[in-house]
This record gives sequence, structure tokens and C-alpha cells, in this order.
Amino acid sequence: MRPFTARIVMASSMLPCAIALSGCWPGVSTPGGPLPPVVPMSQLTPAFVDVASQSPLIFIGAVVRRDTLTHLTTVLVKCTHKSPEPIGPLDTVLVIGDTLRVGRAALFFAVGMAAGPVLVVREASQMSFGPTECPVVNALVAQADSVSTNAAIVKSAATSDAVVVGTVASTRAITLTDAARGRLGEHAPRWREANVLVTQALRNADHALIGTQVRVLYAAGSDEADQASARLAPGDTRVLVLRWGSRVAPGARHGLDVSGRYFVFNALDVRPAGDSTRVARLIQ
Amino acid sequence: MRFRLLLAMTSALALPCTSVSAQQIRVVNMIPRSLSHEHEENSEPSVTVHPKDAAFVIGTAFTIYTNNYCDKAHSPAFVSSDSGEAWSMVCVLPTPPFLLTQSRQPAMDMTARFSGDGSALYAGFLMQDQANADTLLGTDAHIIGYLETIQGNLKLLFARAALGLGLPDWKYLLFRPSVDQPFLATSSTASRYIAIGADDDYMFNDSTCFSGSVYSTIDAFPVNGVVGSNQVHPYCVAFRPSSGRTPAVRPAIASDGSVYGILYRPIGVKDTVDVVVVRNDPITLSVTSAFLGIRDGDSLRSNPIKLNMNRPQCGVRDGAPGFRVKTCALYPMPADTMYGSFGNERRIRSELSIGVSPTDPAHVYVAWADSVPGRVAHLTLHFASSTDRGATWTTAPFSVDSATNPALAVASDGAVGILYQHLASRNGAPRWEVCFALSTDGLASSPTCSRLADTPAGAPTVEAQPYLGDYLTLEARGRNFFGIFSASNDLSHSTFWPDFGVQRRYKDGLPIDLQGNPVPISIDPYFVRVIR
Repeated sequence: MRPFTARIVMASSMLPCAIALSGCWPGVSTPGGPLPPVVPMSQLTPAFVDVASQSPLIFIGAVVRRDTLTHLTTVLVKCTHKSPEPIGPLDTVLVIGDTLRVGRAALFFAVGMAAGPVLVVREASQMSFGPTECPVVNALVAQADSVSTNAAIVKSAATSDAVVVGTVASTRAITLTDAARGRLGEHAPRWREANVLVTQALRNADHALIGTQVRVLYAAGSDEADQASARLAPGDTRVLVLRWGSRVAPGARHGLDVSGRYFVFNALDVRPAGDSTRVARLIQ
Repeated sequence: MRFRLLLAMTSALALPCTSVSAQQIRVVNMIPRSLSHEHEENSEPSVTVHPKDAAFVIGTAFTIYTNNYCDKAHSPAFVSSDSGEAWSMVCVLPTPPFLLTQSRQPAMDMTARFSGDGSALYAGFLMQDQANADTLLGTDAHIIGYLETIQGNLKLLFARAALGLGLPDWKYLLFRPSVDQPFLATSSTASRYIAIGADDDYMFNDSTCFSGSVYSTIDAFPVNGVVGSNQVHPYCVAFRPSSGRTPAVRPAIASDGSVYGILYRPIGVKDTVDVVVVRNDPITLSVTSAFLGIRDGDSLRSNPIKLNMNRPQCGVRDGAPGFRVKTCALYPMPADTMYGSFGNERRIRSELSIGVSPTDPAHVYVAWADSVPGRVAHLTLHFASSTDRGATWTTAPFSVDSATNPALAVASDGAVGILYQHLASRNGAPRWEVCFALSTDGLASSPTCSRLADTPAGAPTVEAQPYLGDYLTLEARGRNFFGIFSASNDLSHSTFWPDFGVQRRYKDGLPIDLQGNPVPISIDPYFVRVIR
């Protein structure tokens, strides 16, 4: 029996991973090559998904010191499952929260508070996993991320004007007049336009688009604000969540002809072609 | 000119010059040790020093990497409690509550300023909502917020935040959509008076503005409790409409409560701008009389008057509000994007600064950049001074060729501090030099550059704009100056001021992480302290 209490109640059964996962798993190898770990799917509860999606930092660590006066706990990180680049691999962090006795280990869900000589994080939750379970937790967190992404796709598609699969035939820069360019803010998108041949509709309502070419605007500027924008390139086949260009806020499209054009913006709008079955299943 | 000559002779320039040996300069890389992994562009920095406790310093910069470190309710600030020797990055700046449910990036374009009495800290920043399924605001949901905290001792509050023991309870003063690059100024006196310059994309329904044109604006108001969102109208400065989107505005508040502002005004001829200084007198802050304190000549024209956006006669004063320190200056914008090849920097008409003497509100100093014919990717810094509250101006007899990001501040003894970044060349390779210069004669003669940093301008490569940023800041406290700039952290190919400190880990002059692995070079924020 594990000697500390997890805030998230976990079942003890360890079921095989129900969703195909690919790739290498740190610390797990066999003579035939790396295999995905056995993932306790029963632990992928809504609560786990929620806390995993809300926590910028997820790691397994062992408590090496507790300060009863400040309530700060020094935790030696064993493995990180979610850690914003460039924070990277950690050695020790100070944790504020309902932490453990010295010598105990756990899976910590945390948010950053400060970064000085060491990182200071606030514990959002903790679960009873030890350092030997790093591969299992990796898989759990990956699946939690997948569930969160699914929910986001459903939400995004619900307000879209079309959801299709298409191949980018060509792209072109959009030349604005001096006057229009002068009205754009430094962080406003710098739009390009792609001609996309629609090969599949993922909703019944969009079947009329199959076989047609649609024009899709996408942001491709070098500003920091554009870095999360989805980019399109000739030859790309993508799942596209499309919205009419007229729905772009006016300040972000000075001088842009949006008539008859869709736009895509972020990674939710442009997904790999291999996601088409997944997306279709989600939004039907 | 000596100033220009020194900058041109970078290869022969010795560090530091003897004429400034009386001042003690210290430069510190602000990235904390625990962020040794960091390799992003910490650009557009600002810094403010507590007016009664110079050990307490707050800095801001682009810190996009913290998007996944702080929780969604907070963005980070750099905090020091020992005069800038050691720094922590603390998740302490709030995110407006109504944005919490939407995907977003951390705060951008930040400036922070303590109030003159030290009882409050104000922060201006830009929040940019990414496209979201609920409102489809796209990237136009620019929000600016002005915040204060007055609970007890600010230093203690930030110390508690750094230890995770609690966060200050910020109050929101103002949100406004569709603006860019808010720039905050506070009064140096005990009054809690703030001014924010911003460029406006859309015309507000305000009687100081004319419909159909675009204006720069300044929000200026005394802080008497929480104002509330959208309760303060921006003032369209100087009734001078712009032929396009109006670029950055830099404000300053004098000790008598006068609010000054400097702005570029794009006029009707391509690549041409006026450099305009405006002033609002303390007793005339209203929508019908705001910022009419300075006129461009002796005309007795009544207000308001609608000015022509087309190119004026450059040599003729029009008598309208707002003095044109420079008329019809050349400032080309790159053809296809707003980013020009100026040492990896973009050029967006924001290279402006204004400083007012803390003891004599009549003494005002400005700096601006413009270009020269045939050199599109080029900027030259110019300076001017006024001793009559901006009624007349004297252009300084020196300029700085190939330079950007000027910041001016005026010390209690009248000395003018100048911080800027100079694009130099050595053996055919571009270099970014950071200079601090001190003028003790009111910009009457060229001051000497103390070269704080000399770093490669071509590395690291640009990941995104801003690279170094469109501004840096300099603040005076008594006779001393405190500034901040962004530069490469590649110590192996750089020279910094001899009294220089770092916290992040290095090996052989290159950054490494806590485990000793190499980390790509990047742009870091640097604090500079000048004790006189």
C-alpha cells in the first residue's frame, strides 16, 4: 500500500493501452526494440485529463527536504512528463503544497510561481507514482493531451464553416497597397493565400466542396504573435477547419480581399491528413 | 563630430572612456540561474526602480517561453531586491480575467513604472488573443491593462510572490481594444498620475478626434481609485491626423503635472513623417482642451482645426497644436513587410524617447530616428532640447549614425542620460553595441559613449520579431540612472562592460543548462546601473 494519499482516486487495475501509441519510450527497451509501456487506462479519468491539461509542469520527484517554517519542499526531479521548453530537465524545485515526507516520491502536477536560483512551483495535485513508473506516466500524459485536443477540435469545429481534407495546390503572397499596409499593426497577421483542392468532406454539410478548389488565407508573418499560426505549403494534404475570411476581425485584415475566401489560424485548424478519421469521428 | 566619430571607430575604441570614469557602471544579465535552459528572445525590455528603495527593481521583457510555465492567470516580471545583482522571474503580472478562458499568449509590449511616491506599481501591456472558437476575434483583440497595487509594502508583496506565498491583488484601470505598444509614464512627484501613449488603429468617438482619420493617443489621468474599464477616453494628440496607422507614442510627465508626448506622424507622402511633440498643461485636461499646450509656430488659430494629411510645406510652421521638431523626415517602411534588415531588427517607426527634468519642468529633451535617401535599411538618431516647455526647440549638434532604440532620462542635477543601440561593423560583420552617454550641458555638445555591450548582430538568428525589440528604457533616480537593454548572450564573441555579472550557467563563454548541456545562444535582458 502506498503510504500517501493521492488527490485523484486511482483504480488499482493496470489495463493495456487501448489506443495505439507509437514511438520510443524512455527507459523501456526490449531485444526487439522499444515497446510502449502498459498504460493503466483506468487512471485516465476526467479528473486526470483536467489536471494534466491545466498543469504546465508534470513530473515525478522525490522529496529531499521540507522546511516546516516556510512550508517549502525541495523535490529532486526524477523525470519530467510535461515541462515547457526551455525549462527542460530539472534538478531540484521548491514545491509549495500538500507535499510528502522526506524520502517519498510522487507524480506532481504544478504551475510555475517563480524562477530564481531554483524553480518555485505550486502543487496543483499529486498522485502516487514512483520513479520506476516514468514510462507509464509518459503514456498517460500523452493520452490525456490527446483527449484534451479532441475536445478542443470539437469545440473549434462547432463554430466553423467547413471541415474538409484538401491538398494545397499553390500558395501566394498577398501584396497590400501602401495605405493598407500602413494601417496594419506590428502584431497583425501577414496573410498568404493557398489554393486548396478539396478531396474529402468530414461533415455531410460540406460535401459540395469535394472536387472544388477553395482559397484559404493563413498567417505567415515573422512576428512573435504569428509563431503559433498554422502554415500551408504546396503539396500539403491536411485536415482543414475553415472559417470565412469575413470573420477575421477588421483590424487584422486591412486591405485584404476576404470575399469567397476561408481562413485558418492555428494548429487546431490545420491537422495532419492522418487525423481525418479521428476528426470525422469526433465531429459527426 | 566626436560622438559619431567614436562610434564609427569601433575597432579602435577603448572601453570605457576616461571622461566617464567618475561614474560607476554595472551590467547584469537578468536571466536567473534556474532558467539556464532558456533560449528565447527576451526583447522590448523595460525597467523601473522604486523611488524610495533603489534596491527594489522590476523589469519586463518578452518572455514567450513562460506561456507554459506560469498559470494562465499570470505573466512574468523580473524582480530584484538587491539593486539588480540577483534576479528572479516571478509569475506576478495578472492576465485580465475575461481572457482566462481563451487561448492566449503571455503579455507583450510591456512597460512597468512605480508611482512617484512608491505606493503603486503600474504596468501597461498588450494581450493578444489568438483566434478562438467563441468570438473569432482573430489577432485583433489587443487589450491593454493598467494595474496598481497599494496593499502594504510592495517589496514584501513581491518577495512573497517569489516564494509562492501569495500574489498581489492587482486592480485594473483600463482596457482598450485595437491598440498597440502601450508605453507607460508616471509622475516623479508624490501624485499618482499616469500617462500612456499608444497608437490607435480605429477612431474613437471622442470630441478631440475627427472621424475618418487615424490618430495617436495618450491616456492621461490621476489615479484616484479604480477607474474601470473603458472609462477613460484617449486624447487624440495635437489634432494631427495620420495618413496611415500612427506609430508609437512616448509620454513623459513633468513635476508640475504637465504631460508631454512625442510621436511620429506619417504624412501624405510615402516614407515621410513629422516628429511631433505635444504638451498637456495640468489644468487643461479635458476632451476639448487636451494637449493644446504647444503650437507649431505663432499662429493664433482657434481650435480645433482640421489639418491636411497631405505633405505640408516642410519649412512653414502651421501654428497648429503640437510642435513639429522635425518636419518631413524620411523614414521608409519596407515594401512587403514591416521588417527591415537593420541588424535583424524591424523598423516600425517607434524609435522615440522624451525626458523631462524632475526639478525643472521647462527642460525637455527628445530623441528620434530617421533615415537618409538611398539607404532604406538605415536609421540615424537625432536629439533636441527645449528650455521653455516645448515652445521652441534646439536640435543637438550631434547625431548617431546607424542606431536605434533611444532612451532618455534626466537626473536631479539636470544631467541627461542616453541609452541606445548602435549597429556597427567589424571586419565586415555586423555588431550591436549598446551605449550609455551622459550629457551634462543639456545636449549642447556630443557626449561620450560608454560601451556597455558589443555583441554579434547576426547571431543568434531571428526566430521571430521582435528580436532586440522596438524600445528599451532608462530611468533616473536622483543623480543615478537605471536602464535595461536586450542583447545576445554569446559571451564568447562579445565584450561587455568590465563590471559585468551573470546568473545563468556558462561554459567557455557559451550558455549551458543546469546539467552542463549546451544551450543555443539567444537574446537576454540586461540591467544597467549607473551610480554617479
